[in-house]
Amino acid sequence: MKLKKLVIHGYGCFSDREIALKDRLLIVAGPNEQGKSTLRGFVGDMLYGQKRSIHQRLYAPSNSLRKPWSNGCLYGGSLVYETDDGKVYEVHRNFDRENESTKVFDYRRAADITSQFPQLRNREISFAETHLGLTKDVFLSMATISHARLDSLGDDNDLSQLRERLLALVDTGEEQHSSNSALRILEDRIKAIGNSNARTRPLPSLRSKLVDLQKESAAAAALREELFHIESERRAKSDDENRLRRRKSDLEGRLEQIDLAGRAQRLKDAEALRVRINEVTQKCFAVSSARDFPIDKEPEVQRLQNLVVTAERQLERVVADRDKHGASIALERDSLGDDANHAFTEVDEAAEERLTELDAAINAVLERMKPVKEAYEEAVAALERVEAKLEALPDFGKYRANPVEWLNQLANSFDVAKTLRDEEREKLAVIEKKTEALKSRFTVPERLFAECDDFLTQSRAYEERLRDRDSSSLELQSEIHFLESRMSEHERRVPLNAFMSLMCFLVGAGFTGLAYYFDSPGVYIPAVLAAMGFVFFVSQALGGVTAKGHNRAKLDRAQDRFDELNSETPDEFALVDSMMKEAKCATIRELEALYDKYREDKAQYTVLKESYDRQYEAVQECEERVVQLTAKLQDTFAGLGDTIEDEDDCRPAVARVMSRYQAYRDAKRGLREYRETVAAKKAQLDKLQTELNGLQQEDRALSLEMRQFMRDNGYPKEEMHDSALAALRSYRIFSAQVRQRRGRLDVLQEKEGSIAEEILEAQEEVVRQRKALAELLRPAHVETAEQFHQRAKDARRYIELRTELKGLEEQLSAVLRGESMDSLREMVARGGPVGDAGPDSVDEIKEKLERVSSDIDARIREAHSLQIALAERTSGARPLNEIEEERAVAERRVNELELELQATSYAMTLIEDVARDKHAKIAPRLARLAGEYLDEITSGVYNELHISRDLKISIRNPDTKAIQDEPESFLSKGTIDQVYLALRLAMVQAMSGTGESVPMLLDDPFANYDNERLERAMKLLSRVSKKNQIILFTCRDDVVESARAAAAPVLEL
Amino acid sequence: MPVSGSKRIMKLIHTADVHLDACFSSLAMPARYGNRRRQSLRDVFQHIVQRAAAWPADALLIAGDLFDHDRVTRDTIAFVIREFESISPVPVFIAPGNHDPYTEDSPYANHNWPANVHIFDKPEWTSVSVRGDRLRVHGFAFDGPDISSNPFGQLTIPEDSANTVHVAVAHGSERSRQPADKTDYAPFDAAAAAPPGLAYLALGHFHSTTPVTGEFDTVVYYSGSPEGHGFNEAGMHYHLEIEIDEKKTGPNAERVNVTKVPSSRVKYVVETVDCSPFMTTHQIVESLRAYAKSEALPLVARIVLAGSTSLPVQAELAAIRDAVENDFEFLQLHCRTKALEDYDMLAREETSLGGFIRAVNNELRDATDPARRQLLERARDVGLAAYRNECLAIRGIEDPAEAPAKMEHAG
Repeated sequence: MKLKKLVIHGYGCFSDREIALKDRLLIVAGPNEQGKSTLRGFVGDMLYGQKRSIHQRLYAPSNSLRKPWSNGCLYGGSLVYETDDGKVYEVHRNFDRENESTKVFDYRRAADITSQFPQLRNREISFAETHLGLTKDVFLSMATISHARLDSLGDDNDLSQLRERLLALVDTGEEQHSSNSALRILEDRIKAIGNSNARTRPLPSLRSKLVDLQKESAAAAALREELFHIESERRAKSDDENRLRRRKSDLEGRLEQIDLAGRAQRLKDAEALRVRINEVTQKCFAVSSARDFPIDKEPEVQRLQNLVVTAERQLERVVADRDKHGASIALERDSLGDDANHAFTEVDEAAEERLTELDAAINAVLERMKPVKEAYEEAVAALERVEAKLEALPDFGKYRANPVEWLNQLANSFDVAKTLRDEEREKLAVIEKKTEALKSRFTVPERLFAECDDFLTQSRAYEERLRDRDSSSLELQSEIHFLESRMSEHERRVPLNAFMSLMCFLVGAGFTGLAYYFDSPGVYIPAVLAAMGFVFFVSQALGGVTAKGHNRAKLDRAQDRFDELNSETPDEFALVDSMMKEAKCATIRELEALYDKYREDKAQYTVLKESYDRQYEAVQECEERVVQLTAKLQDTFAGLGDTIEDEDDCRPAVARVMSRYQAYRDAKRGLREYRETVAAKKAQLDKLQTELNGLQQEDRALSLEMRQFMRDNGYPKEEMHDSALAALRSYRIFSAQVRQRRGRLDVLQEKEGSIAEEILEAQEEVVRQRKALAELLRPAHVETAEQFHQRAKDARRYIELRTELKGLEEQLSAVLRGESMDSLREMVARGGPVGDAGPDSVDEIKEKLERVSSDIDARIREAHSLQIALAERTSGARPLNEIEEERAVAERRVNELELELQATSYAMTLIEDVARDKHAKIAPRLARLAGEYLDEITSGVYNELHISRDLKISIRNPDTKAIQDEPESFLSKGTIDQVYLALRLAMVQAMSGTGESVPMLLDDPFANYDNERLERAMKLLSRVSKKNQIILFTCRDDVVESARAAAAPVLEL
Repeated sequence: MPVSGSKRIMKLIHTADVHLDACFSSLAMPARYGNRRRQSLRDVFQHIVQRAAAWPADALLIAGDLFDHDRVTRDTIAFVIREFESISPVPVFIAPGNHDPYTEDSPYANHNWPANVHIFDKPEWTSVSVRGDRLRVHGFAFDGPDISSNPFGQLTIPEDSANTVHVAVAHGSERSRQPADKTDYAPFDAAAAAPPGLAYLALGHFHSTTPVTGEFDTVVYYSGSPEGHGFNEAGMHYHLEIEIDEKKTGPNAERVNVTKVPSSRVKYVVETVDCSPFMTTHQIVESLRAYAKSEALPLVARIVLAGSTSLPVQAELAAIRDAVENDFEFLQLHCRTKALEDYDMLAREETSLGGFIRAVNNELRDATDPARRQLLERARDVGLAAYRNECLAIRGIEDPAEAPAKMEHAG
């Protein structure tokens, strides 16, 4: 799009001003406050209007800000612009709210085409958006470059900064705010809300608080239950206390009743006691003769009586012992018999001990010989087995070095070579696969573009031709329609004119006839008029026929031209059309994108192909190395008695040979060890045999000697034992038994004498005790102990009766309680009838009364302690209501924060997805456009610029011809300026939904540039403006001079 | 006893649904406000009880739900007992309702109530005579959160009691007045529940003052709660003062006079304020202050700020609340203003921002679940603000120190 002309009726400081704009670079110069920004605003408002919503007629602030300063001016103006397809439009706007209007005209045809554009709900006509493919905000922010934006790049020409700006432009249409910065803000927001790990942040902290409040609520509910129980208990205690108080009162009443009944009862009791005292006194009198009996001697009498009985029983026992002892002595003498005549001398202990030692030594030697003999036999057998095994194995002894070591080295070398070969093969396969995939990808594009030497040039030519053809075709179509309408008009009018001429002729003839008939000259006048009408209509009919023929010829020519235009297909058209058809591309732009992709793939294919060749050579080298090593291994293993089937058998063969070598080493070591063992065991066996012979000889001599000794001592059973030692042990047991029986007989004979002495002593004791008893009984005037005891019983009965009498008198005194019987009798007679006081006694009642009083005290104490418990539990405890209300607040906040967290997370996810898609989508288009601009700006030095899906910039280095990811390393600061401008321009175009070239409005972008840099920038803009119209607003004289030097037109405000 | 000419007037006070010690968690207000609300209910109750002594009334009728059984404290029971004691000998009749049923563990059964208080303790009609049998009060009690047998319709008035005024006090849901959002308890039809001879039926359960009329002679009223308990009980609340002409014969509608007496100490209100005309947030503050001053009673208010405005209402919400909250008893302020953001215009942009808005708009178009829509709308606002390097205030963070630092990533 190119802005052609601005006509300002009234807008801010401008009124009735017309400004013609140039197609390329135009400098609008003027001091500050002269209306540069107003002019810029006018362009934006003319294109997009002044609404701030597409739904409502809500006006942006500019509507009131830009009202004309001069009264009476019409608030609005017009704008003429030309689109890339060559069409020219004129827009008329009236911004006055009362009379707001927008009209769009086809400038060349002067036709109102407003209705051809969609109308938004805010009544705006969206012609600018239709043409530019940009919304108002994006146009204003992207197509307008102010000094702040370019200048901030300054000398710090960092491409990463450029990238950030590109990202921001793609993401928001502004240079400042990108998706990344938005994501960082959202991340901070999520951190501020808090995830589960951040305990101090609001959400987890509130969740935790909520849990605490729930616990507190449950505790409060439990406390309420507990309080209810305590309260119930306290009430129960209180009820119990009341019941006990009633009980106490009842008991006190009963006690009074009992007191009344007590006096009558006491009188009754006193009278009964008096009768009883009289009875006891009578009984006491009956046994009064035993009053002075020496009752205190009764224990002594009883003791002496017991001693007499004991002495008599002792005498009887000793006599019985003497009879039993005599029988035992006779029995013992009978059992000893003839053995009493032999001496049974003691065995010589030294001889017996030696005999025992000899027996043990012989057994020990025999035990020691047994394992030695077995070991000897085993060693001999093993030696024979090892010798046989050694004969079956190869003789490794002829190799000097350790075969394990060099065999391992050999096998490892082989494995390394084999692994290396396999890895190289895999790499080759991967490269081959990639190459095939890549090749298949650009096979079709290659077929398409191979015949086309310079596709880019051809595509541009195609585009221009296509545009021309469309334009011509449209014009021809309009002409054909026009001619067709004219022809149909003629066709409609010719019969009418013919009819009218006929009618005029008939009327004229009629009037002429009448004039002739009536000879009235006045009648000739209408006849003449009819004749004139006849002539007119005839001429019209003839003219129509002629014009119809003429239009037919023109229509045929136009139709032919139109057909010719549509049918003509120049060579380059045919080629490009066929390419598009084959590539199934709807537009030339898609074909261009395919071409870009094809070039990129082709370059990548070349690199991969080279890589494939290098890898193939590496694989071949590895293959040879494996074959050589296999041959060497086969030779070596043949000498070790093994054969290798193939290369996979190498490692198993090494294992087999190493196993054999291990067996060989083991056999050699075994042979040596078994030979030494056999010799050692033989020597040990001979030594033990000699020792055994000596011991057996000594044992025989000593055995003969001991047998003779036993026979001499009268022990005939010696012959029954094979072993002298066993016979000796038997002799010892037998002689001990004989000696034991002899001793027992001696003891019995000695004891017989002592028993006779005991009998004499017992008889003397009996006499002595009887005498002592008789002396004790004499003072009591009784002869036997039984008599003494009878008299003592009477004396005790007397004492008991006296004691009872005394007790009864005391009871009587207690019942009377200091009163006399008569006075008590008198009081009872005075008292009334006595009520029922229950079955309990006074003491029982008193006891109950005490118990009840004690219970009452206990209940009071318990109720008090429960009261304290209630107070303790309720003090400091928050009411359930308060907790639940706080919990409700916390729940609300948690819900709000969770919604915030979810919404923020969701926004982050969407922003990430959308931004990624957007970047990937715009990158190729941006790269292509920026490449074109850069090519133009740098006069072809830098002609290739790549932009990755995440908008990283890389440029082909003209020196190395390689695409470099960090172009800062070889770009000068000036070039980076140019790169930025190219990208900035390309960005506007890339964002356009229609591909229309967007005019750029620059507002003093070079505020801090030095002269050299300014001159360079101006040239650059001059070149860029070949493609995009640029209007540069400035207040600086040096910019104006520089522009003039660059032959750029300057408009002074 | 007040006698006016040939008239002899029986005076009664009727209240119900006081809900002492109610929990205000549904209002989501800080706990200290809950305590204030509970104290306010006590004040209202005290005023009604003292009014019974001052008027003086022949009886005070409490038609259930005097307190919340699960929450009532010992202190509140002591307070109620003390209040009733203070107006002795004015008789008080309590018909326990579904919130304060007469159960074994009920305060009604576990405390010593003054002699002038009669608590109906059975789920069947019983009656008590006072004033020398001039007044007979019938009533029944809920014996659990829901009554075991519904006694409505079983009340009969003896015919030979012409000199006695019969009134009844009960708790239950009259079917024709049953609000859709309230659970029914002991449902009944007024015609069946109002037998001939019954001059006045004092009902409790519905929280707004409601007369029940129909083809019956008895004057039937729900007194409503004497003060609201939430934003769904907005407006003024009342207790009823009933005067019955004992001498007069004829329809009860002519001899029974019922007067609604305002009793609320605070007024619950729910209002929406349109912020579209305001140019500054200060105007919003002034509007809220003027509204608070226009009401005679202190307001417990839920105010929603709505309308389309470019003012940063959400960001300034806390400041607005701080500025006006002293003018209200309690204020819940919600922001539902719509920013003058043209999302459809933004969605037309060929930028990532435009793509983001488009994606959310598409989802919003298909979303029917309100929660999902709320999430999407919030995500759109938050995302747009982030693209503009702004940070929207986080809802749910009340302490400004917890909010994220703004503009940390500017540029």
